[in-house]
Amino acid sequence: MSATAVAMNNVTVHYHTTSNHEVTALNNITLAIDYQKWVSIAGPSGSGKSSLLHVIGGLLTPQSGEIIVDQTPLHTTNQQMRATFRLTHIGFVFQSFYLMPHLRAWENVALPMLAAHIPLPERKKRAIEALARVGLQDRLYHRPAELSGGEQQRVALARAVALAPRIILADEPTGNLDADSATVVLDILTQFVAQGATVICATHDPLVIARGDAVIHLHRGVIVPE
Amino acid sequence: MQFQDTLRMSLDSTFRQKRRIVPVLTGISLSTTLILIIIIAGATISNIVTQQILGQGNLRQITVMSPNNTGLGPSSNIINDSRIASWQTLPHVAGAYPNLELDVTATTNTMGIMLFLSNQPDQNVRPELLQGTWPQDQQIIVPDTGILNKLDQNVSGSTLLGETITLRIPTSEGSQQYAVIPVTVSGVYKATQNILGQILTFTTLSFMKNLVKESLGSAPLMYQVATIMADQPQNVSEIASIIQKQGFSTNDIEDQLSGETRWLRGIIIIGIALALFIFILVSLSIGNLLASSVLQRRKEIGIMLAIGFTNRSIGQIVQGEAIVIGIVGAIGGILIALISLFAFTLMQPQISLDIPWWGFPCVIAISALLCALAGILPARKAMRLDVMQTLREE
Ligand SMILES: Nc1ncnc2c1ncn2[C@@H]1O[C@H](COP(=O)(O)OP(=O)(O)O)[C@@H](O)[C@H]1O
Ligand SMILES: [Mg+2]
Repeated sequence: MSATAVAMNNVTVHYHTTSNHEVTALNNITLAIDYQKWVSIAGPSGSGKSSLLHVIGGLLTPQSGEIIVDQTPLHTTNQQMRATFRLTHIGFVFQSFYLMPHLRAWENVALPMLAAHIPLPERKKRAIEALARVGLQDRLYHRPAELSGGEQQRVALARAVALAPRIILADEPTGNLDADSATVVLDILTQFVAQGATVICATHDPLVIARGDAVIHLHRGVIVPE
Repeated sequence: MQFQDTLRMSLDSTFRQKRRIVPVLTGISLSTTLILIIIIAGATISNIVTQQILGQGNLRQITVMSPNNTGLGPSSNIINDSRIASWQTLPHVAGAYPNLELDVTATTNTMGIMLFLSNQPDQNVRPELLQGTWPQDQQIIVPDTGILNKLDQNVSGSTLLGETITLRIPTSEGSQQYAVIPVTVSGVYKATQNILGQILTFTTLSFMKNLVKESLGSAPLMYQVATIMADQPQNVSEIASIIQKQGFSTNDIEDQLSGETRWLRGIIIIGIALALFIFILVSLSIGNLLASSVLQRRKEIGIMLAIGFTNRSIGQIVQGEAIVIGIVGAIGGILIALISLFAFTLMQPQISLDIPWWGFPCVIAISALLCALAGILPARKAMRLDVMQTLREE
């Protein structure tokens, strides 16, 4: 059992664009991230931060290299296994929240539990608990459009931790938020780390980087020293 | 995902797209209504025809014929008195008679025709008949005024022993009110008057047999056709099959019915085929609707995939939507059909509709099945979506 939350060895990701160009988003990345740490992935736009998170989250399969996340060797899994892996090991937080517009706050939080076969009363109970953790116990029945950006991102955070994953992947979680809301979101992420989660956060916001235990700097798909 | 959750998701995503779902649901509902109304109209009409046929014959009557219809076939299938006697002892047989037509036509010198009738159906001719001890209350004197009617049809021409006829007897002389009595003909007593006013002729079954016998000499009596009465209508086919095994051909009300209602069934089948065709067109449009709604919801599906839904469960949700549309549409169709039938009975109270209740679960099942088929392609399409591609699209 490896002691690291994420272990990458020579991971390379290419994209094939429609104009038949090949873009190398990640080039021979080797890294290790420990459990219960907050690691920021920093770098300018287009440097490969999102691609790195997607590889860790099993959304994207690298063309070469090995990657083990939370004891799961992702380079050997199939589509179905990766879906289950995302469900049970990963909590995602995106820059544009990615909430279901038609669902109420608690229903959005309960959505992953639905995929995990958890029965309705239990789902609702746990969703309410998760929303309480992010301070939204009085917004249970609001729809995303009825919430502020910061509140929406907190719903997304509650959804990410609903199934108690060990790893939370946040892709520019404060990118669409004002400073006050960003602080609240970062406080919550800090609290998640204190409660045992590993947070990997792509960002170019110095405020976010300052919260982390470590920073990985990316530039054009390779890790560079600061 | 648990079944009820898939169902819940399907219901939810179906009814979220109100504007697109309404025309499709209406289409399914209307074609379901069409199918149901065709079935109900068909059943009602065929019931009316059946009633008419039943009025002309007897539900319990089986006509038996020798295969070559001469009565002179191989000795195994000759209809004679001993054969008829053996049929009388079969289980569920209430009576068996040779078909000797009894002439009940009034003639100028007929003072009246006395039909020996029994409202204990299917009495065979009793020996008492000849001795004149037939109970008084079962003797009905039918004056030769054409009152003897079989439903509305005047049958004063002839009738058969064992046949059930309906008598219309004036309640008092010259009255316009009639008592309607179904009775079975069990014998005929035809009286003619001579100049002295004495009764000259008796026509009874045995009398007729004797007449036939006389014309045949000493040869044993054989008949071309016989009639067997079952005790209950539902026993007719059982008796008929026994008789058929003995080498005779039979004809009962079922045979007549199927002949009379064949054209009706044809029309109903064409109607149902037409409605099914419309149904298929509508369910194809469901396929179209679902496919475009999958396209429209790519982002949503991408989010679900990202947070851990499998592609398979996404496909199941879309497949579920198709089935939900089919079931809801069919239920709507049933409601429309029931409302229109109710309105019809208000306007035409004299027509009693025959509603085959099995039709309702059937149309729901057919609709669900067709829509499920129409949902297969869109569901596959949804299953094949790639999580990264769908998420990238802003
Ligand atoms: N689906 C894609 N098709 C082609 N190129 C892509 C795709 N996604 C990302 N890229 C390219 O890969 C590189 C890294 O992108 P990304 O990981 O999104 O970087 P970041 O998140 O740091 O902005 C960029 O050059 C981007 O243009
Ligand atoms: Mg990015």
